[in-house]
Amino acid sequence: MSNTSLKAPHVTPAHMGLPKISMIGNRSYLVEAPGELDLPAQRRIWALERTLKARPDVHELIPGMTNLLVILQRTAEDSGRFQDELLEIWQQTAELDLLGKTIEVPTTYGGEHAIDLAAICDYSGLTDKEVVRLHWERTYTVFSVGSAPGFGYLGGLDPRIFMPRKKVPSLRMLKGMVTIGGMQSGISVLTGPNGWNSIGFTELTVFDATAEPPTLLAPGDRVRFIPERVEL
Amino acid sequence: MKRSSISSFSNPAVIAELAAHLHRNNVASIHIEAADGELKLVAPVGASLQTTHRATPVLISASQPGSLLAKAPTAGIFAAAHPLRPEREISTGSAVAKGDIVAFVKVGPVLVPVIAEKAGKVVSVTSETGTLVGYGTSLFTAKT
Amino acid sequence: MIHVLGCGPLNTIQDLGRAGYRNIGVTATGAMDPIALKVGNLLVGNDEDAAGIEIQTFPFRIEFEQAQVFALTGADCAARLDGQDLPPWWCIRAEPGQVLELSTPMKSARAYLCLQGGIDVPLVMGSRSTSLRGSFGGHEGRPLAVGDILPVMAGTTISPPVNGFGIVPPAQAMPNLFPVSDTGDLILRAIPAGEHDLFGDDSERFWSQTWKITSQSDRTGYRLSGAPLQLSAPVELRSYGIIPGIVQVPPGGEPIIQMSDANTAGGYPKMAGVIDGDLWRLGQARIGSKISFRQSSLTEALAVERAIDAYIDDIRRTLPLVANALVAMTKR
Repeated sequence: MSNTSLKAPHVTPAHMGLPKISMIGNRSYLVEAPGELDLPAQRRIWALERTLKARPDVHELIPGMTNLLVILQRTAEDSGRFQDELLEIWQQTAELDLLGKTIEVPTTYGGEHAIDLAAICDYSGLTDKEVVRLHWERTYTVFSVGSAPGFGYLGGLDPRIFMPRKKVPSLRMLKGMVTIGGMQSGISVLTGPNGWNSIGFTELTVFDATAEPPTLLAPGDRVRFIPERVEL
Repeated sequence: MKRSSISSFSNPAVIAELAAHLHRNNVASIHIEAADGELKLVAPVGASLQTTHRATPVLISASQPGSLLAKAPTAGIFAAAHPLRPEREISTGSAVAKGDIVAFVKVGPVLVPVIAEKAGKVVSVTSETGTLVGYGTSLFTAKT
Repeated sequence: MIHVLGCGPLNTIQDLGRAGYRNIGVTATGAMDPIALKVGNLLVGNDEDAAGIEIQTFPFRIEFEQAQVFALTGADCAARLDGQDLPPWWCIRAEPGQVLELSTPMKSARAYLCLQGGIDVPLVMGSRSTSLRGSFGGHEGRPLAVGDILPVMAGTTISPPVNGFGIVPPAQAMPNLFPVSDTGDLILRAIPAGEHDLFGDDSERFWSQTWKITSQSDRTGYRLSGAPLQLSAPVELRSYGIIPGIVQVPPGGEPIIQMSDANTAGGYPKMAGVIDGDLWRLGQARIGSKISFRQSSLTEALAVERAIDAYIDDIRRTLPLVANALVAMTKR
C-alpha cells in the first residue's frame, strides 16, 4: 500500500527456523512462519511478500496471520524446486517493518451493540469497566487485512481480555462493531454472521470500493480506539 | 494431390489456404483423394467473393432416394446430433420443417448447423457421425 | 441494451473475477464455470474475460432492444429465441424486439449469456463481477431483477451465420479428461492440504466415501453431507488465505468446499484442494448431487491445465476462420 514506509531492515537470527510449506490445490503454496504469533514473525511474512511481489510467475499473494499464501500464475513444472526457492528466499529475507499511519477509531463502548461484553466479563473475571479500559489502553498493529473487504486483523490485545471465537456465530452482527476474536481485535465491516465478540461500536468506515485505495487499514498501521462514550 | 489421411484436410486453416489458392489461380475446383476419403472444394470462377455467382452443390454420393433436404454448409466432420442432446438425432422417418437444424458439421471445436432447405419426411441420412464430409455434400434426402 | 423480463433470485453479472485484491479482503468472485464464460465470450468475438450474465435460477427471460449477437454456454436450458429452439453452447444474432427464454436445466447448474461487446457496467477494482457480499460491482452491486435494463458495449468482431453456430462443450470435446463414476457421480481430483494427515484414519474416509452437496450451498461454498471427519487431536490454526476449491473441515466434521464468493481468509483445518481444472465442473454441480474425491498429483493437474488451455486456444484460432469462411460462402 502506498501509505506505508520502510524502515531499515535488520537481520533476523537464523535460529528462527524454517517455515512450513503446504499446498492448497495445484498452484497455491501456504508458507507458515515458525514460532509465535507475534510481530517479528509477521514482519518476516511482510518481507517475503515484498520479495515475491516482483516475480512474474506469481499471480497473487495473500498474507494471513504469520503466514503467506502464494498463488502462482500456472502450475509449477517443478514444484519441489519452487518450494526450495521459497525456503531460500525465506532464509535470505530479513524482517520488514511496515511503519504505517496511526488511525484513531472513535468508539462507543457498552450499550446496545456490546452484545458480548457480559460474556467476556464472565470469562475473564473482570468488570465491564476493566474490560473496556484494557481494550482502549492498548495500541494495536494491523497484522493483515482479509476475510471481508477491508477487515483488519489487529494484534496486540491484552491477554487478560482474550476471548475465544463463538462456536456458533451470531447471525446479525452489525457493520462497525468493535470485536475481540481470540487474541485479536477488529472492526466488523459487513453486517452478517460473525463469530467474534462485540464490546462496542464505531461509525468509522473502513472500506469504500470506489476509493483508491479502497481500504482504510493497511498492514503495519497502528490502531487506537478512542472511548468517545462508555455506556455501562 | 495425395496424402495419407483425408482428416488432415479437416483443419479449417488448411481449407482456407486451399480456397485462397483456388481463388488466386482462378481454378474452379480441387478434388483431393486419400485412402480413407475424399474432399472437393469448389470456388466461384473468375468472380470475386462479393458477386452473386453461385457454386453448384457437389453431390459425392449418387443415387439417393428422395430429393435433397440438407447439404453440408462447410467441409468438416458430420455429427448427427448435438453432443449434449444425443437423444434428439434426426433419422429416417423424422419430419422436419424448413429452416430446422437437422445435424451439425464439426470444424475443429466449432459446430456449424446443417439446415433443412424445405419441409419433408427424411428418407435417407447419407453420412454417419464422425465421417468427413465435403462442402455441399448431400446429407439428408426427404419426401415432401 | 437488453431488458430483463423474467428472472429468479441470485442471477448476477460476472466476468473472470476480481483477482489481486484478496490481500485486502476482497473476494475474487467471478464465474463459477469459467470455461463456459470464456467460450461464450470467444463465440461472440469478445475478450474471454468480458462480463456476461451467470444464470442459476430459472426461468430467465430477456428482450433485445437492438440487434445483438449473443452466445449461451454452460447448462443446457432449452433456450428459445422468439419460440425457436436454440442448441446449447450456441451463438446467434437476435433482432430488435426478440425475446430469449431459458428454462430450468435438466443437468448442470449454471448457464452463461454473453453479449457481443460485453455488458457495460462500471469496472470496480479491475472487474465487472458482482460482489454480493460487498454489494458492489456488476449491476448496482446486486442480483438482476425484472425490469433491469443492461447496456452493452459496441463490438462487431464476429458474424455468426443466420442459424448461428456453436462449440463442442469441454466434457464432450475431451471425454477422457474428466472422470465420472459408474453411477454418474462427479469425481473431483484433489491434492492433500496442510492438515490432511492430522485427520489420521479419517483422511482415508474423506477419499473413499461419497459426499452429497447439501442445500446450504451457493456461490460462496458447498457444504457436503456424509459421515463426519474428526481430527486425531485438536488444532488451533492462524487465519490464512483461502481460494476456491479448498476443502475445509469445520468442527462439525462435514467438509465445506469454498467457491467463487468465498471469504478471503479463514481458520478451519484444510483437508484438500480441488485442482483448478475440475473447478468448473464443481461450479456446474447441482444441489443434491453426489461427488467423490480422488487423490491427484501435480503432474495430472498440469496435464489437465494444458488440455483446457489447448481447447480454448483451438477455439480462439478456429472460430474466426470458420466464421469468415461461412460469410464468404453465403455471399456466393
